Amino acid sequence: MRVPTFAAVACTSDEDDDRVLVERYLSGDRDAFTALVVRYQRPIYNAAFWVLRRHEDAHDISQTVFLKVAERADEYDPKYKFFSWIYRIAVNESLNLLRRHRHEDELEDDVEIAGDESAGPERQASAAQLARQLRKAMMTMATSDRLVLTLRHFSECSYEEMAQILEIDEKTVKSRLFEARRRLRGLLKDWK
Amino acid sequence: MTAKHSPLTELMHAVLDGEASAAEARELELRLAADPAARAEFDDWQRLFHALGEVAQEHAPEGLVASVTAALPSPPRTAGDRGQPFPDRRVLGHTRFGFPRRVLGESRAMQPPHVASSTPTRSITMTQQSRIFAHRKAWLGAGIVAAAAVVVAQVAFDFPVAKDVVGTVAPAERYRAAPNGSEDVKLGVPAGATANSTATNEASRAIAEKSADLTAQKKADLSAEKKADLTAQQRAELAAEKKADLNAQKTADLAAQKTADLTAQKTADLTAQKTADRTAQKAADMSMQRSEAARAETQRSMEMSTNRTAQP
Repeated sequence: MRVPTFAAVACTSDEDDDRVLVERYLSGDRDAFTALVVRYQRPIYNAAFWVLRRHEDAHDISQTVFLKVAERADEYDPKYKFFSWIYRIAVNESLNLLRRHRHEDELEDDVEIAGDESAGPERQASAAQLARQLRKAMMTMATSDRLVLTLRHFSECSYEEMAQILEIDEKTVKSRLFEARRRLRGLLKDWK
Repeated sequence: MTAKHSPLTELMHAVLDGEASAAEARELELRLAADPAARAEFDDWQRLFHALGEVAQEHAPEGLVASVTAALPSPPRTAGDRGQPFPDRRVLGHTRFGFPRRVLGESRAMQPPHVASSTPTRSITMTQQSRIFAHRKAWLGAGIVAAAAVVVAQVAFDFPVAKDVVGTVAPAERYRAAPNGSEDVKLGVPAGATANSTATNEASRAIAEKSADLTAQKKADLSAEKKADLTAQQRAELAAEKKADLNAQKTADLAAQKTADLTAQKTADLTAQKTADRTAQKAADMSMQRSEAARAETQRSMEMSTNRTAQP
């Protein structure tokens, strides 16, 4: 069983509740939509941030995503999960912006993230230190790698949910995840 | 380039992702128990998974909820509402989201969507709609009154057709009936002799009175209608204002709540960070102390050994 690690994790939220909120909004209750924004603002912002790597862009995209969802709420098909729908919009909007700005750099194969060599071995091995190194390393990775790692490890989506959001099959999801993790581990100089 | 990965590694990832079945998990346990190298690899991946779970996530920016709520369009119309003959897209100065572009900052935030939408937009607020409707009613009322006045004038006043009038521009000439002279007054003549002219005068007076009554009645109706419209509009505006106040209050409450949550989260993160750092520092200190002790022990042993060698 998966356990959420941070507040408002999208892929573990109450799906029935989401549907009810969408229905209430469609019948004129704007507060219901505000509740959806409060619930999903953090995961959507994080998804956009990990694709775009710029806070300003992530903010703009988050706003655009929610307004687009509000505008098209009547197009939402309740047989799918709400977060898959909103995530797909967020991912597509982020990738579109990235293409327009063309500020995505290619990942160099030999990029390594230096550990804190001034600290002792125990300090280097501490989870917090490692997490900081991972974050830094992820920032240098290709968009597709950052995307699958974010969906799986930060938003806690299952393979099936990731396949729905990215519109690829589950086998490809597994393969991309594996490759992304392998590359991430390769970027950590002091991993062993 | 894609590296080859073994089925065993795939199984490890599936188990760590929580996607493996119970049978697969058991199978992995057995294989790890029999293969120390595989166990080491699994432990390594497990450490990476755990560290990924510890990567700090960004907090959503303050004011995101408020800005979205403020720019929120009216709920989309359902399929049955789409046959409206006059869609409001004719209203200028509004985007397809129904809010001015400046809400999203620069124009790049308003790029065309990747998915075409068939939903018509609502570009004006309910308050604006009610005002426009009120204006329309006023114009309609004025038109009706003007038409009624023309009809009444035609019925009430029987203008004679001017003779010898050429063209349409002619000096205005007021029609005057020839005044009664003394020759018209004949004393002792029975009333029946002037019956025709008296009847005509009375009929004219009756028509004039009726016309005046009608005009007064219409004026009263119009005034009542206008008053009712104004009251309705005031009520609608008051209701809209009240709703806006309520929404603003709710937004402010939410923002305050979020700020509080954010502060609490940051404090918790800081505390956790400090605790982790402190623990790591303690571990490092202990390690250093142990190293120091070991070095001292080694030094002592060497000295003892040297002393022993120096003794005859």
